[in-house]
Amino acid sequence: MGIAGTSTGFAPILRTVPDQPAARSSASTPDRHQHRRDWKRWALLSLYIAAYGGFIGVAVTAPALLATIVIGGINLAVVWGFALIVLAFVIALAALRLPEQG
Amino acid sequence: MLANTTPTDWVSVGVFGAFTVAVLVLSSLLGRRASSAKGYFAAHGQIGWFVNGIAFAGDYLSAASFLGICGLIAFWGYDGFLYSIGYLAGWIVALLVVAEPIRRLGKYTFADALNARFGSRLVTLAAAVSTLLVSLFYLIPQMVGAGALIKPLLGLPSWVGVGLVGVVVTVIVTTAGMVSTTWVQFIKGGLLLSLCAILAALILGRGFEVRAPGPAREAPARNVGSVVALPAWAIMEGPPGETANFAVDPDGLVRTEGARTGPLGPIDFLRVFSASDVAAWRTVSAKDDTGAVHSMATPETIHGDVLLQPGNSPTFRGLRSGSILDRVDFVSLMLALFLGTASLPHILIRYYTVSDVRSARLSTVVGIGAIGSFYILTLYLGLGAMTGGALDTSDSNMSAPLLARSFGSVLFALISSVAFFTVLGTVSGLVLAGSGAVARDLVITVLGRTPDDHAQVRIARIAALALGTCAMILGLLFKDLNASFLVGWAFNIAASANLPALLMALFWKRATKEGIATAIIVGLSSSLVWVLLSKDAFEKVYGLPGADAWMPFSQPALVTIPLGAVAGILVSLATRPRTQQV
Repeated sequence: MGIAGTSTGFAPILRTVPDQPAARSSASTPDRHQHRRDWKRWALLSLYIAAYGGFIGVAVTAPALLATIVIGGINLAVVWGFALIVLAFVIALAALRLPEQG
Repeated sequence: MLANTTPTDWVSVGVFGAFTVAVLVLSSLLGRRASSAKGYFAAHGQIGWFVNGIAFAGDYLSAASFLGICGLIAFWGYDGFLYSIGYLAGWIVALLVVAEPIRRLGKYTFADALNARFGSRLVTLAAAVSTLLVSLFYLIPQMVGAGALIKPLLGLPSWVGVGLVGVVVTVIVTTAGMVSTTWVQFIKGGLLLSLCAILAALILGRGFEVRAPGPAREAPARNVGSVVALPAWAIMEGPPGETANFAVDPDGLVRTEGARTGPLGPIDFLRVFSASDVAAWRTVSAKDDTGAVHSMATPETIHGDVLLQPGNSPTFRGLRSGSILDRVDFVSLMLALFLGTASLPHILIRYYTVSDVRSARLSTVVGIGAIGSFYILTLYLGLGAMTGGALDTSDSNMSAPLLARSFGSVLFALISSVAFFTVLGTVSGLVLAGSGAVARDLVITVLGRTPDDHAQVRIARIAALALGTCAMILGLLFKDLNASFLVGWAFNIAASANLPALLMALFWKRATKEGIATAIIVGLSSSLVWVLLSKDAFEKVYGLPGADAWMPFSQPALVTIPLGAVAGILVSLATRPRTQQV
């Protein structure tokens, strides 16, 4: 994404907000933690973007594929749609375990 | 008109009256807590995360979600569900990208967070104008929904519904601010979810029954919509008192009237629908020699499996047409839905009502759970309306309330009242966001005046009154459009105007105040102009031929979000202070 990486200029500027003293206590450790927790955050976002983007991509390029019956007589369009809704909730639960942003 | 033919249902009137009085009493009681600016705009930051999470659902599940999506599914099948998918997806961006920084940086309005680094009047002015315009665009479908509801509920014309919402909301917002708005949203969100779950259970319990769709008729036609053939393997029982012994056609379908499935599970419901023939109603309009427009509603038999794929509605038909531009239009809309949620001012300011960052995150998770559950239900509600013989071909927004009416007048009264409550809640949130932008951003920051705490609240209340009036007028002008379709436009404008600026302000160290303001102005103006000159606007708003439209496709987000971002980045780089130029 480039948003979280410091080398591209897209540093998470909230590190310097005064109510986050822990983020400034050390020069290297916080950056490492920052990088790791941001990595998890962007990984979760990327996972959802892949699932959502994949759905849109199939709808645009191969809409007939969405008519394929996949589970219990239900087609791929319905299954994928429900899966996106459930995945959003699963990611939300996973995000609860992430440390605070910035 | 329906309004002239619907007798007044006194059960509905009673339930509706009770709901309205309850909301006003609640607002009056909670109004005492809103005398200060922090109380009025942010409920003192003391709302619990669970209450705020359900209030998120209350804010978000607007007329577009309940009335609009159910209506689209009832007429076009899966295409309406695409909105459900997109609306929910946007919450992932809100949760993972903006929720925590917004809570940490902001105070009362969207501009607070955006401007935390810069303290710039220009940024505040741009953000305030964006908040006002986005809120106004989002208000239109809510008012349209209110007008649609009042017709079957009280047998009154739609302008009464629009007026009633305007008056009640103005009372709520001007008396009590964010505290009462939050509790109204909480109660409404909980009620909406509960009643929709009950309605979905009743739909599954009823199953499907073969009925003749009836002849084509001059629109508006009511009480239509049916399954005209069921797969033989799905038939479980005959009409009451008869032995189940139906003729099976060579294609394996049963077309005998009265054949029914009996209760179905959630998966079986979709499986049987998918294998059935359904009468979907289409309306065709034409002018006669005198110039008068006549509309004819006609049943069209479509296989269920086709209805459970995207591409049936006029908005998404391009997915099957082979036209590149139609497909780009689809991608653009889905992008706007994905990025629009995290850009809606009335959603973002709800993060200020909780005490800390952890509560902001927890409330988002609760919101996603509640909203996601609701969106799964929309597919069952929409398909239930399509096949339950309770459609009004003249107004897709009425599908869900009329579906409830097919289960009895009490459920209809409850659902309609909660739907009206839904409109009230969402409009309250929007008016609050807009009035905050006027009182805090325009008056204090831009005009340079600093009224005392009580004066700020007074200015916000006057602004709420003005916004409510504008919303009523616009709601009447756009009353014939589907609510969810209109919200799609609001998402396009919100995502184009606010998201690039928000991401730059939160995550890019080199962003400057000029760059942020440029991103907002370019995104806002380009998306607004695009929408107003699009094919959809020509056909559905101006009544002109779509071929005369100036824009190649109707949904602008795919172009205008990057446009705002690029403009913001270029201006930021050009206006960077020399000390930063390493």
